[in-house]
Parts: sequence; C-alpha cells; structure tokens
Amino acid sequence: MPLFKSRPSKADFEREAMPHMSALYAAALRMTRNERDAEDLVQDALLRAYRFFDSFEAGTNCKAWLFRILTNAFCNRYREREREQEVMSEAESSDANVEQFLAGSPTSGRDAENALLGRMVSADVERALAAVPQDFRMAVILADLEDFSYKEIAEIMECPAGTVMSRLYRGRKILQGLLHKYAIEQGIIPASHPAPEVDTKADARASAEPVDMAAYRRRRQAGGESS
Amino acid sequence: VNCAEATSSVQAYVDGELAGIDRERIQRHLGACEVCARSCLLLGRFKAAVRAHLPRPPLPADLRQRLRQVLDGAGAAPRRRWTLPSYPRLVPAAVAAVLLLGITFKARTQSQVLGQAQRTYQTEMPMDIVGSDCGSISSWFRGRLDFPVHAPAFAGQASCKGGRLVNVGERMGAYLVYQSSGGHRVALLVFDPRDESIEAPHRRMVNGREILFGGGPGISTAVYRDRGLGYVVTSDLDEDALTRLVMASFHPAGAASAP
Repeated sequence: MPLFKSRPSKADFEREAMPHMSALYAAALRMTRNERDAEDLVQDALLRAYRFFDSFEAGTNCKAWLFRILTNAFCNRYREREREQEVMSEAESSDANVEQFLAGSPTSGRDAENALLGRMVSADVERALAAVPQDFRMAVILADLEDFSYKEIAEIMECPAGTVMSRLYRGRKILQGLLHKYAIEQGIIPASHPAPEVDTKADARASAEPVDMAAYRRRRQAGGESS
Repeated sequence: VNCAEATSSVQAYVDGELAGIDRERIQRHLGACEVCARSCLLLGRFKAAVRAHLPRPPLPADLRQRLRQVLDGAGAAPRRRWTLPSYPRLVPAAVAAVLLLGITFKARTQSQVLGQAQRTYQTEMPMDIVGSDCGSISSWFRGRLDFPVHAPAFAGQASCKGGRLVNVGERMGAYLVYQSSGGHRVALLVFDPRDESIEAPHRRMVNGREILFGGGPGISTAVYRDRGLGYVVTSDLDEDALTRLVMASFHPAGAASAP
C-alpha cells in the first residue's frame, strides 16, 4: 500500500545510482558526441531518476533502469536535432544497401579484415562510432561498450529483441565499413581496385574487396542501381 | 543448421545470447563450416577491438560536483505522493472513504490510451498546425473532430506550440503540444472517452477532482475527465509538477467555456 510503503531515501538513491554515473557519462558522451551536451544529459537523467526513484524496484537492475531514463531523455532532447542529419545516412544504410555495400567475402576479405583489426587506431574508432546513425550507434554502445544483454537493450531502447539484433548487426557493419574507409584513406590498408561496377549477388559475396564508401556513393549516383 | 541460418545466429552466439540446444547447434555448425567459423572469430575479435579502443572516459570532476549539488538541492524525499496538503480541505466522511479507496487502489494495468499518449509523446511526429496561439490551434480542429477542442492555457505555465490529429482506438482525437515555462515539452491528448472507464496505476483526488496517473521511464501521464471529454497530459515533469500543471488547466469553477 503506497500510504505505508517506506519511501526510498536519498541515501538509498545515492547508493544505488551514483556508482553508475561514469557509465552513464561515457554513454552520453558517445550518444551526444559532445562533452557539454553529455554533461547536461547526465544531469537531466540523474534528476529524473531521482524523481522517479520510487518506481524503481529494489533488487532489480539499476544500471539498466538508469540507462533507460538516459536514453529516453536523450531521445526527447536530441532526436529532432539529429533527424535531418541522419536522413541521408539512414537512407544509405537500409538493409539491402548495407548488405551489398559491405558484403565481405569470407575468404578474399580475410587479409584486409585482419589487417584492419591489427591496425585500428582509437581516434578512428571513436570517429567511426560517432558517424554511425543514432539507433545503430546506441545499440553498439549498449552491447559492446556496456555489456547489456539483448533483453536489457530491448527494454532500454523500448523495441523488440529482434530489432535490437538487426540494429546491432547493422551498427557493427557500418562501423566496420567506416573503419575500412578510413584505413584506406590513410593508406593503412591498400586500396585494392574498387569494388566491381556491377555486382550480382553471387559475385558480391565471392569477390568483394575492402569497400570504399566514396566509391560506393559514386556508383550509386551514377548507376542508380539499388537492388 | 545451414550457413544462411547460422549467419543470423553467429552474432547472437558471439554476444553470449544463445543457450542450450541453440548453442549446441551453432557450435556443431561452426565446427564443421570454416566460413562461418571464421566470421564468428572475426566478429569476436572486432567486438573486443572496438571495446579496447573505446575505454570509458573518466567522469569529469566538475560534473561529479554538479551532480552532487543537483541531488542536494533536489529535496528530501523523492516524489512526495499522497501528502496531506493536497487532500481536499475538510472532506465529509463519505468522500473521505472514497478518497481512501482511491489512494490505496493501485491498478496493475493502464488503459491503452495512456500507453498511446506516451508513445506519441516519444515519437514526435510533425504537427498538422503550428503556432503559439492556443485559440487558433483549437479552432483548427473545428469540423475535423466531432467534439469541440479547447486548448487549455495552463494559466501561463505552458505555451502552445502546435497540434495534430491522432487516432485514439477507432476514433480521432486531438494532440496538442506545449512548452512549459521550464522548457519541458508537455503534450495533451483530447479524446472522446464515451463510457469507457480509464485505468491507471495511481489515482489522486485533487480538490474533489479525480486524476489518474501513469507513466513510463522518465515521463509521467495524468488523465482526467472534463465536461465529458478525456484529457491525457504527458510530460517529463514529475508527478507533483504535472499535478500543478493539470490544476492550472481546469476551468475556474462555474466558468463556462465557449463552444
């Protein structure tokens, strides 16, 4: 009965929530891509969490609960601002396109992928992650940097677990694609001849080289092929 | 398991999401298929590399201090609910009994309309009409809905931003967006509840008027009836601030609203 339920105290809140502040800040920084916005977002989330602390069930996962509030606050604040910027990249990362664009051959791409893995530079990984569209980026942050399970991510992002899987899949693919691109730009991995002009689905799987985003865009504009 | 099926499972396997028979099946396939085994290995390495390259930045000292100050200034108890001052002054015994029922009642479910209001609040669809004049926004709905819409002015605590038509179940309703003086987005859903009863996790009687409260993470929702219409207010304000806002939307006793 709410009338007699013991109210959670500020000390309870501090004990539960404060240890997660650095995780919240790290995620906020990579969501907003800006220190100032990240600080405001964490402050906002903390205050909301405190106000709604009596809706938190003691003994359940406080970190996931806080991330849900953070994500919610983030969407309320920044969704609109980001929408326009992302229309382009969203369009380019529709399933078919990403698949086609990134379809790496299991055998011929091996050297490039191994080379990439060995030579990744932190600043590039940070830059690439920042360029991943919002929903995919968030899935990658939650799964790969914060170790949340699909189920927890589904609750945090308020979407079905299947959507989590596809966002994560696409997020990682886009990340890989961008890292390839940077590595080629910097000459870290050789820009082997550009991906074939017309790639049938079978050929794409069998012959894909490290893909160049710019070349891909040019090809799309020129050919308008979209299958 | 063939390769096509394995592809979708490899990610789940690498992420540690498979158990039991699913895990055994993919492991068996990975043992037999070099191609899938390799993509599994690469994904695992990629994941580890990303993580290694993106360590958690430290919490800035001044942010830590700011958070402390925010908490210190946030009042003693979270969300004072059911505090005495919000009760009607001196209530007759009968009303008090009803009130107490209302207070102790905690429904597990909430009506669909609450969930819908919350989802609409979070998705931010474009408005059909944009403007800061509540009157002209109200009149835009005339002829578009079979009930009159009066965008409440919230006694200056929030200003109108726009509105649009929404589906509420099988009927149409009005969705109005405000900005509170504190910068919070406040949405008001006006709908024809007919005779349906509305369920919400909490009830509260404020000056003899029943307000139902629900909410999702970080947002709260208040539902009330006024002159036969249903109103759902959704915002990221806490319940007390939302209550004050709702109070401000009620017509002064006896004041008639123009049709």
